[in-house]
Amino acid sequence: MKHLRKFVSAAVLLTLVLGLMLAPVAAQDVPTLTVGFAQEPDSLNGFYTSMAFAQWANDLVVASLWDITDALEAYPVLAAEVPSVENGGISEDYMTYTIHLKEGLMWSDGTPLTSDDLVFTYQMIEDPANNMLQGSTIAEALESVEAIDETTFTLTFNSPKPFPEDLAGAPGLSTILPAHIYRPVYEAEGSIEFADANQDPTVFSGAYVLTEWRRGEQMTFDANPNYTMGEVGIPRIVIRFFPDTETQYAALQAGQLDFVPNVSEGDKARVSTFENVTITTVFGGYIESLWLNIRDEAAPRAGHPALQDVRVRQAIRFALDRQAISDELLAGTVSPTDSIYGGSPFENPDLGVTQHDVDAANALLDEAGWVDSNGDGTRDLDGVELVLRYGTTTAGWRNNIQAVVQQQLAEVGVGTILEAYPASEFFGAWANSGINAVGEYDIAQYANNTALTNPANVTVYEALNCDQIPGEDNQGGQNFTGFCSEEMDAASDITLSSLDGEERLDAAYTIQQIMTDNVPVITLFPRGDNYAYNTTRFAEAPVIGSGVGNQWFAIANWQLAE
Amino acid sequence: MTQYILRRILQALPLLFILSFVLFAFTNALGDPLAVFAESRQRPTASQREEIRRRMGLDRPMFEQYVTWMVGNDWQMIDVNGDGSNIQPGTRRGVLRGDLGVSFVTRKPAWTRIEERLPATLTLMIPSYTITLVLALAIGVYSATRQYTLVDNIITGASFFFYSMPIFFIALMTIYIFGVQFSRWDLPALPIGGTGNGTTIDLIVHMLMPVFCLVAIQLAGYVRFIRSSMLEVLGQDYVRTAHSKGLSESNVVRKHALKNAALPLITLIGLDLPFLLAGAVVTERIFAWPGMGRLFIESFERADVPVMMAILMLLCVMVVVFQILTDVVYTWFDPRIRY
Repeated sequence: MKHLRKFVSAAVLLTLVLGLMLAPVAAQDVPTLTVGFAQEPDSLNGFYTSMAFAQWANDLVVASLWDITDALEAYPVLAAEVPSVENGGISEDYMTYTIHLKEGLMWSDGTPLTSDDLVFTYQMIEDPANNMLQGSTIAEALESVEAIDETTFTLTFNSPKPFPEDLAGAPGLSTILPAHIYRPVYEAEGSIEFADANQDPTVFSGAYVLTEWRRGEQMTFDANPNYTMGEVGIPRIVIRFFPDTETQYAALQAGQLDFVPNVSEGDKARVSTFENVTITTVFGGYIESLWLNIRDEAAPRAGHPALQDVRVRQAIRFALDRQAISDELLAGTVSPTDSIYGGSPFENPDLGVTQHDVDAANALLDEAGWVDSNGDGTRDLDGVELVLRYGTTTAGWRNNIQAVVQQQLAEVGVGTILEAYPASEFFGAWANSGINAVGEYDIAQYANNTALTNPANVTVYEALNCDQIPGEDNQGGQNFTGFCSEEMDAASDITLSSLDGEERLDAAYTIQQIMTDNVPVITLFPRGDNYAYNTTRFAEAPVIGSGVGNQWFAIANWQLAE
Repeated sequence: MTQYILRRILQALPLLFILSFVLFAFTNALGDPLAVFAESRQRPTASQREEIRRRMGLDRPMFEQYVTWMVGNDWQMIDVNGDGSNIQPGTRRGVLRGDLGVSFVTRKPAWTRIEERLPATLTLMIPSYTITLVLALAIGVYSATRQYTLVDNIITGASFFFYSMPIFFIALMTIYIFGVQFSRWDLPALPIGGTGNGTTIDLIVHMLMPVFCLVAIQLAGYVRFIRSSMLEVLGQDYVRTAHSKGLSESNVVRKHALKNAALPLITLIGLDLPFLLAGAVVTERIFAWPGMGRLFIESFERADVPVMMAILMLLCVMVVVFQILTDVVYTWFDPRIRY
């Protein structure tokens, strides 16, 4: 028995030692930038994801026809030049784009990248069998796509498209599929929805190629020798996934991560105190807002009757001290705005910002007839207490804002019931009884997109349009506030289709004024995109793209410290 | 025995069927899988989301979705546009024909997603569970044979201390001390998160913190269980008889007491083993370990019903299997048991 025990012990020890000796040793000598992502990308085909992290990872391996700098200027990548009316790339009626590719473009496997790839990509966008998450904007707008020669193709639209940056070059829509990889799948299966290359791509056009994807753990990218913009400064990038932000920040603090995107507004102040860590903020294209439910009886649940009165809505805005929210919760890193275009180049500088004014709020509420008649500390009218259901997602920093807003509204006799939901419930569809969709709130806090590279504002034409008010007959409607202004819809149409730049800007200003006067949404502050990085790891501060475009647009120039 | 095993399997089938329906109803109540796109910059339009919903079958009543999950829809035609203009055949074969469905998130088979994560979970859970059992046996027996001594009291106190400690607290403190502070103190800091660079040595180094936390949190319960089980057996007449026959203390403890005290432990292990496959949700999340627990939470957050159902049904089947195995193992430990 004793011999057996000794034999087993020796065998186990020997196996362990041999295992350690024979274990492969990974190369560690390649200069590597280690990035932390809070979520793992769900696809590396840009047409099958709406996830920001997936878009960022895609941006490393996919080159656009043209991209957008941190100064919001378009510059060519695969295209020889950004098309315009002046250079003949866009027809006078803005209906036809003629795009020239650079000569000698190649995929990472050495296959030529030609207009055939572009034509194939647009065919895929247009075929509903592919069941894509992205590309509907361009699919609905396209009349035809035609290859002229190996490096030239034309896009013909069914209406004027004055914004080239929104179309073929925009992130998400800029993904160009390698036809030699996807076409055989499409021909065999009639769809590329389940193509292996969506999850395990092998051919790339961007600055990097994906060399390894360890599911749930990390992605490794190495420099693409065939990248059209030349050699990159950092030969390898490793993206590691940290679902727990505390762990992610600990790894950053311990110097085990070099770069962390998407630092939340609530964590910004804390993270910036880490040794050797700095935070840079770029325009994110989001505005954090309070959406007021002013839907009427026709909706599954109407908003609180008080919100039908514009004076009450204005009073709530007066009652909010948004600067205090910024100072006390967000380390003063954001500035309040009244504009639905806040932070964008099309924000009306003369609009001003409503200042915190408790007296003005009280006066408006009194004038509207909401007074505290029963002495319980909350205003009421005809037996209805002015208590509002205030919901948001379960994000901690949002819940902190909820608590402060509750205190501020209580000062003017407006009560609130705070609610927090998982995103799948809060933003759920009508069929799933989503909180916003069916109006189970009076105040809903979440972010809206603002106008980016042109005055057409997706929030206005999708989430505030009269035709988008949800109901039994319009269950996919996105205007959850129920606000309807035909004047604003007309102005929105102008921002989308007018060929006159000045007219478009005037329309954007009109929209901002209508929104400010009617207050269906109380904008809190434009949200930046916050990136934390270890200063000792970089030779100089990395140039980071805005939320409008590709954060990695300048990555070829990033350099690690020696 | 064979007849007994077959009978148990047949008994389990209706149970699994009922469980599958209940779990499907619960997972479907989690919300809208497409809702996460609401704040995306590049989100699908409302009409596109409706179309995707129809293609995924999410527009159908829950019971109909369950039938599709169970028996597939390749015998049906799907109205993709909802207006009869685009009718296409269904593609799902159903669980009964080995198709666990396609992930709403990655559009890969749900089973593939499990295959990707299962090895990491087993790599973490098997060593931690083994270490827990070995330590628990050693400490539990030691403590039981020295009842109410100083050492026993210290072990009991420590057991309660770790038992009452939330795992996230231990995990974060471990990271903070061994990952962050050690690097500040110029000590060799442990790596935070992941499984390392692919070498065995690096894997072991990356396992140190999560395994320590899992062992710390599990050990206390097992120690207490083994101690009380041993104390009960040590008071039995046959143990006294063994002592009076002049057998050594270690002989009595190992051959007479421990073997009999192990029977309830086998029941406990039989109940716990299937859940090793489920991973450790909190530990995997905090230590960025790419295992099943994290996959379940990620699927939960995205309302990815096919993946959640695949994981849950895998666990249900494993619980049944391990219960049958436990019954078989009983016969080895206790010759009096016959089926």
